[in-house]
Amino acid sequence: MKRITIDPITRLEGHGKIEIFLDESGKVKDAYLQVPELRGFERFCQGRRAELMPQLTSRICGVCPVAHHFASAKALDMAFAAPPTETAKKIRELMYYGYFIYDHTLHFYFLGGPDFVVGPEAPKEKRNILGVIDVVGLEVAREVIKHRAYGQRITEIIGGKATHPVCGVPGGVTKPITEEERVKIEEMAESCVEFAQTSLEIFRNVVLKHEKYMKLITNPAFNHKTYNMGLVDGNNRVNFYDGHVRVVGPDGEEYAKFPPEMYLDYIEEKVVPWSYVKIPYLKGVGWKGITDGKDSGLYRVGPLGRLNAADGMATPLANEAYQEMYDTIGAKPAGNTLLYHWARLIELLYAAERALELSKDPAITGTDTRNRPGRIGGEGIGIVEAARGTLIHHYVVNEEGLMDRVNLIVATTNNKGVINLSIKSAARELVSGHEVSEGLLNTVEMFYRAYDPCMACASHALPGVPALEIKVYDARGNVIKTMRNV
Amino acid sequence: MRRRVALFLGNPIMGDDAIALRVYERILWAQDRLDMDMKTFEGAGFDLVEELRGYVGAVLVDAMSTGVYLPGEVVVMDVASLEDANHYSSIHTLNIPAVLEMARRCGYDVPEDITLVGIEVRSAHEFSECLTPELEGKLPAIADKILNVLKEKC
Repeated sequence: MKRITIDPITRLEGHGKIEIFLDESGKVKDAYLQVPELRGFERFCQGRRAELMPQLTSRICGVCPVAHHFASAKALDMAFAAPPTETAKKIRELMYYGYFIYDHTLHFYFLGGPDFVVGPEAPKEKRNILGVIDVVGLEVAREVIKHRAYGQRITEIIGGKATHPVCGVPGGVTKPITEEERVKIEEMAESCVEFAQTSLEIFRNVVLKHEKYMKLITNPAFNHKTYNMGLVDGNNRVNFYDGHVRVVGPDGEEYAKFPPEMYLDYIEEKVVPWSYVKIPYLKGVGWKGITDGKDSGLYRVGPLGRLNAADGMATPLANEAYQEMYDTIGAKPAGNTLLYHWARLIELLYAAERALELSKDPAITGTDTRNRPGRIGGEGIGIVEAARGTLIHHYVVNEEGLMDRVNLIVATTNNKGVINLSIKSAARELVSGHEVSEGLLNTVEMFYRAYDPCMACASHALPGVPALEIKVYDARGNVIKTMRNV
Repeated sequence: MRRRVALFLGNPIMGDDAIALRVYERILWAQDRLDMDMKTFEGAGFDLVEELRGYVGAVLVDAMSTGVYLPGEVVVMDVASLEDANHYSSIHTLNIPAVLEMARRCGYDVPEDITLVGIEVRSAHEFSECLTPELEGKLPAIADKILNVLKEKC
């Protein structure tokens, strides 16, 4: 069996490696994503004061600190029997939309942009943000910087710090929002709504009006008929911060809808020999390996998974954009991996609209920001939608308020099975035998990056390690070809 | 604000990844003498660019795990080297040279003179508030080397 290795993947958080296995005829037999395990988090947390968890978990990852912060705070709400006040819930939610604004903006323009706006066939030196600017123009670039900063400013005003917030505590948040702060947030959110609409217009002009991109996003080879998961509100509309977990099958029918505390009844994790990271799947459907279809328990999370798992968006402009996407594609659920980029922009618009709504809510400046704990210790489960998918925190806190047990299922882990599926199908289309061009390999990576995966890796690999390495092995495991992109 | 800045990057709960933060604690006393701002920074990417705004020169001190050097070795590099850095060039942390160029094109005042100082580490995948004993033992010498680099740059 021949073997191609792409290591590490460029432009992603942490280290990742894709291995593509070829059969004797040079066709792709299997493709696996390998990620290093961050070790010892449970042991690290044991015996620590539970109320420190929102700060500790926000440092797991430099990309999703706000998501970890609030998943943790919600788990503690339950463990301490301290449901947040209505004001606190709105404040948390408002801050959460600030996080989505900056995260989704960053992803579309800096990650999806090089892949989509510039294109997978573009020369390497163009596939970065400078290449994106060449296409969209300097004025748009300034708007990108400005609105990403607005998202961060919203989280900073409420959370105390933009990157590692400190506001979430069991039962609520540590401080209210002043009227002066509310006005600032409202102004920024209003501008973000306009920016999100502009971003969708750019997507229409750059992607939807070009045949080669339309072929990519409608190519059946990249279409996976998987289950889809996401939080929804009482009307089955997408919700990032709260609600029930809804799972919709590849046929579009609701498979399950459950409150966070029941997640173990529906999700199981499979240990596989080729990865340190376990692969979650739907317990009731069963594990069938890295394959799709109604009988395979693999499920999607993140922007496309969320939109597929819902019946619409809870804000008017985003809901229009939602309908436009499904009308254009002509299928729901939509299964092409590259549609994640479109879904992400629809969510950007939703986040901005919802932030604007909340900033205008008279209750947002209320001062009842925290309920006192009803008990010390207990079990708590918190689920939020991180920008890249469903995030689960599960704690057991002892009677002294110290951590006994921790279990986290992060978004990229939830997506692990489907990411492997996407890599395999892309590789099957684009990699064959010994002919391994940079453009082909970047396309394989492009499918991986669409999920916006995050390996939560805090370590660095500075010069000495190439950003991209490809190794081709012969049937006996000998390296017969090595390619580097630096 | 002074004209130059030294940024010490790392994650305080990720073992050896915190080496630059520990160096910062040991040499902060020299801030006034060197007439250079010294700051810790736990983010990266565009946030890093925001931290650099307004300075004419910057030194970034960070952990690295190349496997090429011995733990504790200090390596001084040009900012162009960052193009090859996995963490810095990730989507979330971005390709710093490209982002600096983008910032300049958009009219941001970011330094032309940026030096990267890497400290080789081994254990940056395990949650811990402690350095590995080998690195802990070398901390005073590492701090002295970094201080000398900063003296040359100020």
